[in-house]
Amino acid sequence: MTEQRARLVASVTGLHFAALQVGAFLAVESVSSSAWSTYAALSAAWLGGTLVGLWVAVPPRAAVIGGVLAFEGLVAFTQLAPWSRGLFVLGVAAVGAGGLWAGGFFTRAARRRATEGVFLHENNGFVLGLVATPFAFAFGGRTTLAALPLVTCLALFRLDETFKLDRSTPA
Amino acid sequence: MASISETAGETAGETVGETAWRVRSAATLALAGAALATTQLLAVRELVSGLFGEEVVILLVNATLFAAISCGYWLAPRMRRFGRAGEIAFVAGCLLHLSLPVLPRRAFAWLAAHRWSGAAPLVLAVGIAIALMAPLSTLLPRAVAGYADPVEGMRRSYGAELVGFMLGLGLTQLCFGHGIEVLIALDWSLLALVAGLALGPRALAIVAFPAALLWPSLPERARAASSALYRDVHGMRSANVVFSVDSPYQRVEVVDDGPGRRSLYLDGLENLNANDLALLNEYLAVVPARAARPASTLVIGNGTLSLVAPLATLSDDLLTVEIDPVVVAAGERFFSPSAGRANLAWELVEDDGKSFLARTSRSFDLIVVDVPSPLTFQEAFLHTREFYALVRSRLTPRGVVSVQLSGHRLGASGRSPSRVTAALVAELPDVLVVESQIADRAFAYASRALPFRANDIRAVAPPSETRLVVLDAETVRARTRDAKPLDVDSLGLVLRRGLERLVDRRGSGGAGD
Repeated sequence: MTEQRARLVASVTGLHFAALQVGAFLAVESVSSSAWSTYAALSAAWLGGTLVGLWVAVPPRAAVIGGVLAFEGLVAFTQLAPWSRGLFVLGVAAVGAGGLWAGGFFTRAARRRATEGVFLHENNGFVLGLVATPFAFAFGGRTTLAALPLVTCLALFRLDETFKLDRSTPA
Repeated sequence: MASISETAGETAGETVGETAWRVRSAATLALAGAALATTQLLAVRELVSGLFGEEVVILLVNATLFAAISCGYWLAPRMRRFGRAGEIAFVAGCLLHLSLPVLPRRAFAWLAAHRWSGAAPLVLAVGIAIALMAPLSTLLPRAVAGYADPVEGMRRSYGAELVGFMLGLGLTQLCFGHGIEVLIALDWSLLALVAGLALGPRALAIVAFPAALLWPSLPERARAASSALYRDVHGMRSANVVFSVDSPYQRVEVVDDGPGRRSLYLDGLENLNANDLALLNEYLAVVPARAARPASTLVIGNGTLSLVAPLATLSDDLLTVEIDPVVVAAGERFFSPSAGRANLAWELVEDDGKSFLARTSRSFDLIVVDVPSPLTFQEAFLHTREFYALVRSRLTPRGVVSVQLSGHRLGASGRSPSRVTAALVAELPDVLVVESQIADRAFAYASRALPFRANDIRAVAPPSETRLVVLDAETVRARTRDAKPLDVDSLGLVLRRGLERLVDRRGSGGAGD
C-alpha cells in the first residue's frame, strides 16, 4: 500500500468510526434516553470495545462487518421498537462491537510498522465524521444515518486491498 | 529537567530499568488521557457558552477540539527537532490551562466590546482549543514510537491513554454539580502530574506552584469574567452572575441585570427571565389546568419548579420530571423558593422526560411540556411526532398535552411553531393554538378529544390579555397543512435555525438572545 493510500485509508477509517459512534449516540438518544448515564454507558462501550480490539486479535473483515451490522440492527430497532427498554442494551452492544475495529485498526497499523501519522490521519477523518454524521442525520434522518457507515465500509474494502488478504488473518 | 523522550518513550530507558520506564510511560499516558477528558469537557462548556449553545455551535466546538488533537499528532514527530524548545512549549501549554476559565470569558467579552463580532470569536475558539488540547495529544504517538516492538507499543500506550480517558470521564462526572473550581482543581492536578511524569519534578513545580497560588481566588475571578461576558456579549449593562454551575448536560447560570431582572441561561442561551416567567407559566400550564381540571398532572422540564405552586392547587396529583439536577438547584434557590412545597401532593423525579414516559405505566389528565425551543437535538427530540405519540400513550382519553411553540404565532410552514404544531396534529388531532400578545408566545393544547373549547380558554385567560387569538382545530389543521411534522428523521430545522442565529449574531454585533 502506498503512503498516500495508507493516509486515505486511515482518514476513511476515522470517518467510519465517527459515523458508527456518533450515529449510534443519535439513534439511541432520539427514541430512548438523553440522560448522562446513557451517554456514559455508550462512551464506555466504545472505549471498552477499542481496548478489546487492541489486545485481542480479531479478523479485520469480520470486525468491520460485525460493527456495521450491529449498527444497522440498532438503527432498524429504533424504527421498529422506539422507546423499547431493549434499545439501551442493544445500543451498548452495537457501540461496543463498532469499537472493536477501532482497536484492531491501530494494532494492525503497528503490526505493519505503519504507525507514523496513523493517529493524525485517522483523527482527521474522525473530525470530518463528527460534523458530517449529525448533518446527515438532521437532513436525511435515520436512513442516511444507516447508509453512512455502509458507504464508508465499502470505501474501506475498496481502498484497502489488504482486507482481501486479511480475510482470515487476525488483526 | 528530564526529557520528554525519556519518559514518553523515544529511547527505552537507558538510565532507568525497562520495566520502570514502561510503567512510567503508561502512567503518563493514563494521566494524559484523563487530562484530555477533563480538558475537553471544560473547553466544550467554555466555548459553547461563549459562542451561544445551539447544536451547530456544539458541533463546531467539538470538531475544533478534535482538530486540535490532530495538531498535537502532527506536532508529535516534529518535537525531536524542537529539542528544549519543544519541552518549554509543552510546559507553556500546560500553564495555559491555568488561564481557564477566565481567559476565554474575558477574551470573548473583549472582542464583543470592541465590536469584533465577525469571525474573530470563532478564530479565538480555535486558538484556545489548540493551546489546550495539542500539547497533551503529542504524548501518545511519541510513546508508541519509543517501543522496539510497535505492536506492544501500540497496545500498551494507546490502552493506557484509553483507560485514563475513561477514568477522566468518570472523575469529571463527579465534579459536575459543584462550582467550576472543583473541576478546575482536577484538571490542574492532572496536568501537573503529567508534566511531572513527562519532564521531571521541575516541570511539576512550574505547573503546580502557580496553580496553587491561583486556585483560591478562582471562584471570584471566574464569576467576574462571567459577568463581563454577559455585559459585553449579551449586552446586559448591569450583568451580575449570581450562580454558575456546570452540570453533565450544560452550564447553568443565573444572571441579574438590575433590580427584578433575573434570567436563567443554559449554555449561554437565555432559557427564561423572571419577568416573563409568570405569563409563560400562565399559558403553558395554568390556563389549560383551569379549563381541564386535571386529577393528575405531569410536568416535563420546568427545572425552576415555578409551576409547582400554581399547579398544585389545580391538580390532585402533580409530578415533575426534570433531567438536570443543577437546574432544579438554581430554580429552588433563585426562582421558586421552596416554602410550602413539602405540604403539596407533589413529586420530583430526576430523569429524561422521554425515558420516564416510556417506562411509566401511569396515565395523566394533563402533560405540560416545558422544554426549551428546538435549538439542539436533545431539545428537538421532545418536540417530535415520535415523542408526541409516546405522550398520547400516557394521556387519559380526554387528557391534554400543553406545549409552547417557540414563536409568537403559528407563522410560516417551515418554521418551528408550524412544524411542532403539525407534529402534534399528526398524533393528537384535536388542537387549539393560543397566540398571546402579553406573553409574546404561542401555545398549543392538544388531545384526542379536548375537554374544553376556544371560549373556555378565553374565559380563563388572564384579564390583562385584551387581544387573545385562539385558533380552533379546523383552523390549525388548515394553517399547518403544508408544514411537515417535526420528526426524528427530519430535524434539519435544528441546524438551519442554529446557523441562521449564528450568522445573525456575527453580523449584528454579538448579542443574540
